[in-house]
Amino acid sequence: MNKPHAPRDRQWHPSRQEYHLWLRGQLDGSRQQVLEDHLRSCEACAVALPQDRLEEDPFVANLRSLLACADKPTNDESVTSEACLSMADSAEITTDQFVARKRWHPELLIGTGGVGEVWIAVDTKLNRTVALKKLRRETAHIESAQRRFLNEARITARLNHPGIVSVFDLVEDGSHSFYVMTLVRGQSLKSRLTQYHRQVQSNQGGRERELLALLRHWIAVARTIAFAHSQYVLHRDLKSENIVVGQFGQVTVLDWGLAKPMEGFAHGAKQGDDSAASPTNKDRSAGSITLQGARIGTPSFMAPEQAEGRSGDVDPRTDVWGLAAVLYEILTGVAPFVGSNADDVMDAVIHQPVVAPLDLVPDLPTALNEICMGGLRKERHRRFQTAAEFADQLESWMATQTSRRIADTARQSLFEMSDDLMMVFDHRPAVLWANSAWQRSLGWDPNALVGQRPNAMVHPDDTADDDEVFEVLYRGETASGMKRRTLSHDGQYRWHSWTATPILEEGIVCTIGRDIDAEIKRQREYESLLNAFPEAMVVMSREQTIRFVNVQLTELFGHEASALIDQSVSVLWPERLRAAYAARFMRYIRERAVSARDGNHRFFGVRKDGERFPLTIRFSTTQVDEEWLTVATIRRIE
Amino acid sequence: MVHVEVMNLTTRLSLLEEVQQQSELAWDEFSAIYSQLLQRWLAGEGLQSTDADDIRQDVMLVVMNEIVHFQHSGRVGAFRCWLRRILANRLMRFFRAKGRSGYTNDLSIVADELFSDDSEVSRNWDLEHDRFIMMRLVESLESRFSHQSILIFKRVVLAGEDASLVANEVGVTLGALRVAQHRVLQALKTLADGLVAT
Repeated sequence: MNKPHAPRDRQWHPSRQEYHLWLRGQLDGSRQQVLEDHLRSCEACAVALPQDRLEEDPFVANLRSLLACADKPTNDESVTSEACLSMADSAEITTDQFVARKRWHPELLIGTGGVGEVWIAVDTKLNRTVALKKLRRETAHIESAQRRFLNEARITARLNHPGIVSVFDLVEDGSHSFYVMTLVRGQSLKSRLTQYHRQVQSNQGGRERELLALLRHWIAVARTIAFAHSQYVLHRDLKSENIVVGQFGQVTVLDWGLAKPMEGFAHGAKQGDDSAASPTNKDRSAGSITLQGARIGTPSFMAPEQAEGRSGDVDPRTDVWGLAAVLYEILTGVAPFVGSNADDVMDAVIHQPVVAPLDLVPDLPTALNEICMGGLRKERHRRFQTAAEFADQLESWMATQTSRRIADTARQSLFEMSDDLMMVFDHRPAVLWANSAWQRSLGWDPNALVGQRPNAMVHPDDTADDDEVFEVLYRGETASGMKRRTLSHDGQYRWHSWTATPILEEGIVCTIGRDIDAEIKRQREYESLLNAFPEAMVVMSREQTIRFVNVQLTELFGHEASALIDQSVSVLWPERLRAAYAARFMRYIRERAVSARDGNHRFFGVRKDGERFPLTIRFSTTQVDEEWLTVATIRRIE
Repeated sequence: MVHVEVMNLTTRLSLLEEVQQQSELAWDEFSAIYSQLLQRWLAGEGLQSTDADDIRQDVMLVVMNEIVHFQHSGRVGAFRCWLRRILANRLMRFFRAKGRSGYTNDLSIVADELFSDDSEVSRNWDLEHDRFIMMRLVESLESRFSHQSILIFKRVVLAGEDASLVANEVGVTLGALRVAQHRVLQALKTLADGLVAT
């Protein structure tokens, strides 16, 4: 690993550089642990450690001068050991019972709870770091505190689950009792969710991912509690501070100090132990010392039956409330009930309604709001009945969420790949979203379109009937085949054929525009060619529907072109003759050979003003885009 | 509460950072220390104890409300300077409202001087602040470490005694002494970061 810095023996030693990093406080947790474990027992390293670091350290120099002049005149630079020791006359060289036991050596106090305090300790036998919990000096002599403490150790030891610490040792010794367990490293759920809500406030990215991670941690907590319930143990003090999220996302539920075996299920514990953890009314004066202690920090998470002191009503649904309160804090950043003192909060827990998370976080998914509120019903029978059921609910919401996200992502990428213009607009109407085809084919930044009217880029001459189109859409009908010229960034227009369809429940309209510019231009060329032809012409389908007429034809019959397009060609014949002509036409169209052989055919036509006149027609048939079209060339006989 | 922040086994966030993250425990510790500092300082400047109480409470209220927004500039003593200005401001308001009734000296001069960064009053405040806070932080370490670790820290780091000698007397290896000394010192550095100019 590293080049040993004291290579006289064959044993491994941390490098000099590692020691420098350590002295500067720059080693990470596990490397620091390894180095310190080594240094404690390695004479060579201890002696070779840079001696002069302390003297060089400006912090130490400042510290010495500040504290030296605390009780002395400032001009006296000298620091004697007496001067400094006088500040801590209580610190003596003591060999307490832990040192005497040799194996478990408490080193650093990291937390204090109702009855106990937790130390980081060294297991001198296996040379590892553990957590050691012992009674607090203030309450160590109280017998009920001792019983509660031992009860906690036994309950924790009994719960063998990845979400609960393992107990290695329990020493029963009256006020000197202690137990040893896994040291849990990580960040409290409280600090994780505080960070998340700070992120939300400052509008930083990655919010959704972090929320989903927090919800997954919550599910792990709920599963742990469900396991405890299956072992007939209630936690009774769930709160985000009591939940630790490890470096690899592993979740541990701590502090089973208020835990108690369920009534009537004194599983593995004698009934006698029970009274230590759950004070009955008779026992209240003794129990209230610790209960009070536990309440002070956490009434915000307390279920109504706990706040009212109805200890007989405390059951798994009490933990369901606790879980819901933690979920509430994840969603909103605050506990369901807060106040300036414990009494106010408890009063609110009992008498005030819970403010729905949705009222605090308006963009919260309503399903999440409901799941959370499902655990916060004051009447126990209206809550989720088990922690497992509660966890299942959130888990299934997460699952649908995940599959929806996948579908959304897929849809989004398909939209972005499309060459068709797409946009979504609302009732105002204003654009909510546009795809990247706007950029690729017209040069517009899709984001710049957001907020504009959907037809902002349409040629002014093409927008005349758009209001009617909007009306159709808002009635809930689809509108299609709208041909519009759309402005491109370079000032040119391109033709698009638009289809729009409303999604009424979302209050939005989705539109898609296909580029038909080339098609339209080709059609225009074809029209101008036909108009340049000296004789009157009509183009029709096999069903004899008029597809196109040239200028000469409109002049000959006195109709506007628009009045003829899509009509049956029979409008050009006198009414009496229409049926007969239709049959003849059919033959000419079907049997192209006939028309080719027969040349001109004599017919009668009728003008718009009713004038009848004789004419000849030549037929020719051609195939355009899979469709057979017939071109009839008409000449008036003078 | 068996948890340790992942980054470092022995040290947490600085007290200032913890307070800014709205830890109630940290705030209790912080406000106990700073209330005492303010009380001492105000008494030292000759304020009557009820007036000193009022001003101290006003200052602590402002600190409580504003500390979340306090941004350490990285400049030495930014925090004590921030606090000094709040104090000066509150003193000024106090004397504006109350006038000189009950005081023979014009104490608004003290407030004026406290505003200025290089006045005698400000220099004394800075020194008093650092000394007092450091002393109290060292005290607060005593509840976080074993007596033995604290003793080692005091003898070796504060008093500058010979490490091997101390190790011998305490009955630990030199390496174990170095670990203890280092851990307490690191914890103090972390705790003091941002509060005391170092």
